[in-house]
Amino acid sequence: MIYLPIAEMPVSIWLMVGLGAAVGFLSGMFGVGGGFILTPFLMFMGVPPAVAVATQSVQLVATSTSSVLTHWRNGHVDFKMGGYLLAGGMSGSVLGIFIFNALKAQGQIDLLISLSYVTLLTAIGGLMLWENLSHMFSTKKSSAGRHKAGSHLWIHGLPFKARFPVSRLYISAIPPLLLGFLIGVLSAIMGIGGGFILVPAMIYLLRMPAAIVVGTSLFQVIFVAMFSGILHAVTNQTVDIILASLLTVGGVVGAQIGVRTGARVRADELRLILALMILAVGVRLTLDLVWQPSDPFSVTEEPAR
Amino acid sequence: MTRLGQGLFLLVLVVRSALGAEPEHLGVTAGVSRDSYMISSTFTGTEIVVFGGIEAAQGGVLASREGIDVAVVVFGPEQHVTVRRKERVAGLWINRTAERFERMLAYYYAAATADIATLAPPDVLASRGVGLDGMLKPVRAAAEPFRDAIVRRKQADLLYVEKPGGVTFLSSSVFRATIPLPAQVPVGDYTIKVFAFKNGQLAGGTSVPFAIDKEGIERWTYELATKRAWAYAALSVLGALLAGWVAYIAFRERH
Repeated sequence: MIYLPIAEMPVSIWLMVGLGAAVGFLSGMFGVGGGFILTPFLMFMGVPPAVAVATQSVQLVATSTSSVLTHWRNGHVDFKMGGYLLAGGMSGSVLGIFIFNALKAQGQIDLLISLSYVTLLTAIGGLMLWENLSHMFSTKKSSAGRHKAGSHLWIHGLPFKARFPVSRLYISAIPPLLLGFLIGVLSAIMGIGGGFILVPAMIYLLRMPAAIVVGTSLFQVIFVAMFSGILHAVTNQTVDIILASLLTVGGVVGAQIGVRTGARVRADELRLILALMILAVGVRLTLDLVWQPSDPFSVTEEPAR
Repeated sequence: MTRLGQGLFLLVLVVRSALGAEPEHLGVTAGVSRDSYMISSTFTGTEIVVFGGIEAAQGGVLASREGIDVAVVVFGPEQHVTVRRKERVAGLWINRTAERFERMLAYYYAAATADIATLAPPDVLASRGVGLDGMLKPVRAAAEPFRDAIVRRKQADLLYVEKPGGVTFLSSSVFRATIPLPAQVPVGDYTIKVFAFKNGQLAGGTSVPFAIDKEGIERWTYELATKRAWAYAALSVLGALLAGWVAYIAFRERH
């Protein structure tokens, strides 16, 4: 057990290292942040929600860096694409913060956040699962059926074309910028990293190769997480560096294992597992909304100074 | 106390003695096993011991313990608490209403030699904050379920505790109480108040200050996080980047 100076409570060292490792593994394998597991678990352990959210973003910087470096060495990071997404994302989060404050003043933000998050996750997860399954049953063995060369989407008609050599794409710069922007808005409003939305969108909308998607998604996660970690530490002082260290020790190792595991799994299997995961989170959040809570009250404490 | 208050108090005393209802005054002394507790990185909760003695008002030896009860009450630091309640809207459970409570105690412990309600009339207990019912200030009816939710949670975390029989007499005049401080005990200034009751009336009391603070790396981290937030933020993020890089190097060389 070790006492956390900011959360002001003791936690089990090995439990936190193990939890970090599990989340790091998912992150390295799928390119998603893993906050959907970490935040509720930390809160269940008694860590104040504000501390859980803020600390998790620091751990995310570490795990993403660890994975991205390894993906980079394998030639699996599209820095140009990542840069476009990031540029869109930064401007999107500025707008998102404005929307967030406007909605907060209206007092209806909880309902909107819950509904849009749940709808988005369930829809994306469901579509991905359906696409995967129908593909599995229709083509059986031949895996060349997908993403045929020359299959034209509306995306290909847009101007400002740019070359993305790593992803082997020659598409307009508008979709990556716009996608980044939308994710930025959503992240700011919902307080999520956006990996769950970004990864499928890169696979299905931008049609990037699955191997490149994970590293590129994590590349932009580093910056988003860094930004939010600094913001939390400076404005709310809710980053617990001891807790972050424990989660990080497990996280960076888990990420390394995750990247290696991801490299051994077939791309369509990877997509199928990801689809199931997104759907599971969506369904769980839906149940939270629909089921009567065992305790309808939630308590937030702040020291009176 | 204002001059008017002092006047009234004296008047009450005079009237009481005239009626012969004046409670016997008792001298109360108390001390703690340590006057501060430092939380270090291995802290998982602790307990402190309060000792004390009862003597006759003039400092003489108490003739008899008959009818005397002692309460030991610990008041923790204050905090502001916001409670939100989920309500059903169009079939969905979402946070709808909220209540904010200023200056609630973050920690409260009340122990006594008997059932707290039997010590004195409710108004006396309430005026001194003895017992949970006495400590909690009245709130408007609509806020009550919200306040109850806080109390339930505090009780579950052992941060609001009422312990009848938690004070024991070691001899005819010396008593002892053991106060548990659970792992999640809040940091800050505490006041331990000891009250002596005789035949259902308050007969004397004293108070002892007590502090819980962080020490060593806990203290250093906390100070850095709150007083040099930018340095702390930079340290956190740079540390994370470094950790990610170290793991990459370590695994690259192994494979």
